[in-house]
Amino acid sequence: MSLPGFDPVVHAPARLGIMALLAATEWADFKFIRDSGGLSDSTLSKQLSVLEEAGYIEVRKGFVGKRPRTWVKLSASGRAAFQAHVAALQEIVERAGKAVMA
Amino acid sequence: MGDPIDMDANAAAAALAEIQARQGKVIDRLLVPNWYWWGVGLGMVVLGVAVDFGTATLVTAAAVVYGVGVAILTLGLVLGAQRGAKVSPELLGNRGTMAMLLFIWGSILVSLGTGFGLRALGFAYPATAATVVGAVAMIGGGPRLMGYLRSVMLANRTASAR
Repeated sequence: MSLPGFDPVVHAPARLGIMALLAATEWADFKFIRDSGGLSDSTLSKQLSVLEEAGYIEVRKGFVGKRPRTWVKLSASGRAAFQAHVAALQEIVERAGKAVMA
Repeated sequence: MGDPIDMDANAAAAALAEIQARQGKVIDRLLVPNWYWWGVGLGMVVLGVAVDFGTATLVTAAAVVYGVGVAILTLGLVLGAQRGAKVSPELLGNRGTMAMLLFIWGSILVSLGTGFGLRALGFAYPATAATVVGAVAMIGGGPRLMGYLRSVMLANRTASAR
């Protein structure tokens, strides 16, 4: 049995939190994601790299004044993957519910 | 965790709860706090009292202070909500946008209707009465509007959309 849409890249806890946050936003900056998720700089950088390699996020770097800033947004494929993953999770919960009721 | 077969319902439910909690925090950033409605409402009443009891200079000064104050307050909240992240407007959707417009225009029309209606009836302090009505709409309706918008946005977020 396999669940279409279930995505191990998305499902890792830190990445799931990042994807959930990004799915509700047009963009978010590095600091906001880090603070919202209680992640360290290195952990967030690593997780963002994984998501970027998968093509799920777009990362843009720039400056606000003299301060370097990093903005992140979900790509179209990332949004689709996240939605499919959420649907798969809901499917698991629903199946269990039906099994309990049977 | 990588194999869907190993995923039990409790773990899936926990993951969904985590998603909802994360997105709920993002949504809450958009909501206007209760003190905003009190500030706007009470300021409105002060303006109404100035219109009924004050001189032209006082009315002008009150209108400018009120207008600038509300603009600064609103701008501060909007910019604050967008600091660090911009919430997707899709979350609000047509229902949320319509609710906001109805609330704003409804409050304005009720206030103006009250003021002009009372003035036509010869009431001595129509501006004060109208702004009290407007303030009650703001203070009573504002938080309710925020509650409604929150429920709309929660319903529109990805975790709920199936």
